[in-house]
Amino acid sequence: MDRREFLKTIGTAAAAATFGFSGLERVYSASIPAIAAAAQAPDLVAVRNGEPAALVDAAITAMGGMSRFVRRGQTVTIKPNIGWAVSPDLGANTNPVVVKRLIEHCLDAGAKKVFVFDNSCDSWRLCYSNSGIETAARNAGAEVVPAYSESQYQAVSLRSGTTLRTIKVHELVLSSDVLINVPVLKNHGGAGMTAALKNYMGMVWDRNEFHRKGLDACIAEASLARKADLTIIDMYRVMKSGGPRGNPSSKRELMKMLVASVDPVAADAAAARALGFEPSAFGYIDRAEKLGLGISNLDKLDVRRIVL
Amino acid sequence: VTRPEIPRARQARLFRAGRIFAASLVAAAFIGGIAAGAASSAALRLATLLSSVQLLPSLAAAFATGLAGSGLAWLVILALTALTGRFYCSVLCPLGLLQDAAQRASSIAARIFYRKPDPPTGSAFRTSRWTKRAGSFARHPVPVVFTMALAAIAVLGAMLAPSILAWLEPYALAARFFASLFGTAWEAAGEAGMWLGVQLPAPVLRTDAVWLAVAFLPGFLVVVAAVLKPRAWCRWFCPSGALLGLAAARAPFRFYIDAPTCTSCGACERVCRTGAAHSAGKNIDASACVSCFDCVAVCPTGSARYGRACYKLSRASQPQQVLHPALNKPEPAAGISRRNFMLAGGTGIVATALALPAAGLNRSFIIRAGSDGTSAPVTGNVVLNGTARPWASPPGAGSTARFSRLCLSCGLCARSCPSGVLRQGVAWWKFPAVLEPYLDYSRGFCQFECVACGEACPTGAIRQLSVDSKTSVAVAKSRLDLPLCIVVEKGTRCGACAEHCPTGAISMDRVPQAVFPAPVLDTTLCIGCGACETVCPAEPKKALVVSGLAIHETARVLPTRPGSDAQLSPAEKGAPVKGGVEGFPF
Repeated sequence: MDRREFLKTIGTAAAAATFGFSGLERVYSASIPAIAAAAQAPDLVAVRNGEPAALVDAAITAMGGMSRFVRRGQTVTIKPNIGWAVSPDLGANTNPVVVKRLIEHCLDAGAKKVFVFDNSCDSWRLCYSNSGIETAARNAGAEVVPAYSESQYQAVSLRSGTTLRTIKVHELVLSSDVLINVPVLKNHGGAGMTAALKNYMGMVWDRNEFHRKGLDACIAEASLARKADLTIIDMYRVMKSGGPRGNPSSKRELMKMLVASVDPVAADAAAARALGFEPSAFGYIDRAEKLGLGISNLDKLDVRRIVL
Repeated sequence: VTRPEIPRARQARLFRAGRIFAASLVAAAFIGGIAAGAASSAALRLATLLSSVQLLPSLAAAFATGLAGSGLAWLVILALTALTGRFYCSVLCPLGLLQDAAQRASSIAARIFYRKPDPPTGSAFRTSRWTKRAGSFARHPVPVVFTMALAAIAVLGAMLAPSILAWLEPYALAARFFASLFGTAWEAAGEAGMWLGVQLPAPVLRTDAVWLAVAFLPGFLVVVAAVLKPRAWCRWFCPSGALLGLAAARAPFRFYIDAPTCTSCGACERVCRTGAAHSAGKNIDASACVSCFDCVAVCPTGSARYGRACYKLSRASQPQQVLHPALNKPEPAAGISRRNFMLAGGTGIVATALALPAAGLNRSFIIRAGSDGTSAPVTGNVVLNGTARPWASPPGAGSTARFSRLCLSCGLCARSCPSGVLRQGVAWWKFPAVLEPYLDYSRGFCQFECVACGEACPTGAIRQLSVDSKTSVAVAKSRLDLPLCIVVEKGTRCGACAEHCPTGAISMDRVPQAVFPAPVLDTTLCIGCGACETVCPAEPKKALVVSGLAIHETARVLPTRPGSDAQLSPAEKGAPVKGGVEGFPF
C-alpha cells in the first residue's frame, strides 16, 4: 500500500465513521477509470471461435479490463469447477488455460493474492492434479487451496433464503475482496445444466443438503451468501450428455466459446441457450431471478458478441 | 589393549554408526510413506519399495504369483543372510528398528531421570527386581526347537495362510503400529494446519478408536518388551527372525570372537541385544546375532570381529565344556543339530496344522488361488450405512477368497487410498484376519482411474492393474431400491448418483412413479465403485446399496466416442436454437 492509498483509506474510514455512510467506502475508493469502464461495459460478453487464452483476453477487454474488478492490493478468489479426477480434454472441469489466463489478468491488475479452490466431488488431490488446474494455477502465480476440511467453512445466514436459512461456505468466498466464478458448461444429471449458479455447490460444505431440500431452490439461494463479482463460463469444450462427470459415451462438442458477465443469471441464460434450451427449462434460473440475483431475458440486456 | 587394535575399534564404531544411520533412513521412509502415503505418491512409492523387499511378504508373493518381481526378494535375502548374517534384522526390518529406538530412548530416559551411569545394554529398567527375573529368564538360551517351529510357521504361513501370519509378521505389525501412531498424528497435524492456514500433505483425519487400539497394541507390547529386554520380539516370537536365524547359522562371513586374543571380559555379552555373544565360551551364535556391530565396537581387545571366520578352527580353539555364567550348565553350542532340525520341523508342521482349522472356523483358508480368482467364495456380511451386505475386496484382488488367502493386513493399501474407501477397520466377521482391508462405502468411493492400492500391495494380494483394465473390473454391484429414492419419495429433483457414476451405469430417466427424472440402473455397466451409495442423500436408508462380489467380474463398457475434441455431427447437434445472432445461440 503506497502513501496515497493509505491516506485515502484513512480518509474513507474517517468519513464512514463520522457520517455512518456505509456505501461511501466503495464509491470513494473506486478509481475513476474503473467507474468509467463499468458505465460503458456491456451486461454480457460472448466470445467465440478462439483458443481458450484468446477467448479470455477478448472477454476481459470487452468487459472493461480486469482493473474494473480487481484493484491494487486486493485478494481474489477464483472458483473453477475442479469436481472430477479426469483429464482436461474431457470437459468435466474448467479448462486449465482459462483459469491460468484469468489469474494472470488478476495479477496484472495488481491483485495481492489470487486463491483457487473447489470442494471437489472425487478425491480432491486427484481432481486438483488430473484436471491440470493445480499446475496451471501454481505456474500462473496463484495459491491453490484445498477445501476438504469442514474447519475451512463458515456459516452464513441467508436473509432472503426460504429453503436455505443458513449455509456453510468456504472462508475464501467471504474473506476475499473479489470473487470470480469460473464454471465450465456441462449437461447435469440432477440439475439439468451446470454453469454459473450450479458452480456454487463447490463453495459450500454440505452438498447433500441441496439434494435433500431440492436442487433448484438451493442452487438459486446459494448465491445469496455472496454473489460473484464476475462470472466467466468456459464453453470451449462442452459436455452435452452424461454430465457432470461424463462417461465413455458422453457427447462433447468443441464449442470454442466463452461468456463473461457480472450477472450470473444472465450468464446462465446464455449457457442454457448454448446447450440448446430456453433458460426457463432450468428451475433455478427462474428462482434466482426472482431473488433479485440477475436478469434471464437476454433481450433486455446489452450483449456484446465477439467473433475471433 | 594393544596399540594395533585401536584402528579396528574406530572402524567398528564407524560401522555401527553406519548401520544405525541406514536403519534410521529406512525407518523414516517407512513412517513417511505410511503416514503421508495418501497425500504424497513419492512417499508411498518409497515405502512400497521397502515393503516389497521384506522377507515374508516377498515369500507370500512368490507363492501367490511366482518367482518374479517382489516374489524374488526373499531368495536374495536368504542367500545374503546365509552368506553374511542377519543384516536384514538390523537394517531393513521396521520392527527391529522400532525396538532399537525404544531401547535407545529408554537408555536416554535412564540417564536423565535416574542419573545413573548408562548401562551398556541401555535399558532404563534393567535394575528393577521384575526385570531381573525377566532377565534371568531371558538369559536362558531360546530352545532351538522353539526357533525351528517359528521358522516352520513362517514358511507354511506364507505358503498357506498369510492372513494368520499377519499377527506375527514383523513388517505388517510395524506398519500397523506406525499407521496408528504416526499416521494419526500426521493427520491430526494436517487438521491443525488447516486451522492455522498451513497446507500439509496429510490425509483426512478419520478417527477409528477400535482400529487404533488393535493396530497399536501389538506394536506397543513389542516396544515395552524391548525396553525390558532388548530385541525381545526378535528372540522369541519373530517368524522371520527364526527363518533368517536358520539361514545365518553357518554363514561364512559373520561376527565371531578371536579366541587367542579374547580375555573373556564380558563386554560383548553385556552389550549384545539378542544374547548371541558368549564371553566365557568365546563365541557368537550367528543364528541369534542380528548384526548390530555393538560387540565389535565395545570389545577392548579387538577380539570381537566381523569377517570370514573359519568355523571349525574357531570351534577347535575354544575350550570345551565352559559353564554358562547364569545357568551353571555347559554353554550351548552354536549351530543346530540334525535331530533338533527334524524335531522343530515336525513341531512347526503340527503347530500350523492346528492353527489352520482353528482359523478356518468362519471360512476356508486353504484354497487354491487361481490367477482368475476361481476359488471358493469367502463370505461375510458387513454393515455399512445401516445395511448389511457381502463385503467387497479392492480391484485387483480377483476374489474375496484370493484376497483373504494372500493379504498380510499391513494396511499399506488403505494408507494409499485417496478417498479412504479402502479401509483397514476391525472386521470381527473376518476373524482371525480382522485387520484385512475392505471397501467401506460409508467413507467414500473408489476413484475411477486410481490404481494406488495395487501399487502399494507388497504381497500381490491386490494385483497391480493398468488404469484401462481397472476401470472395467467389477468388485461389487449396486442395487437400486427406487421407493427409497428421494425423487420418488419426496418428489424433488435429485440425481446425485447419476452425476457421480463414472461408467454410465446410472442415468436419469422418466419413470411412472415420479414427476422428475429418476435413476435407472444398468447393473451390467456397474463396477461397484460405490459413488452412487456414498452420495445418495436418502435417509435413513440409502436408495442404492453396493454389495461385494465374491468373485470379481468384468463389467460391460459403454462404447467410447471417437476423439473428445470431435465436432458433433449436425444430426447430434439438433436443430439450431431460434433467436441466435452472429453464430451465437443467443
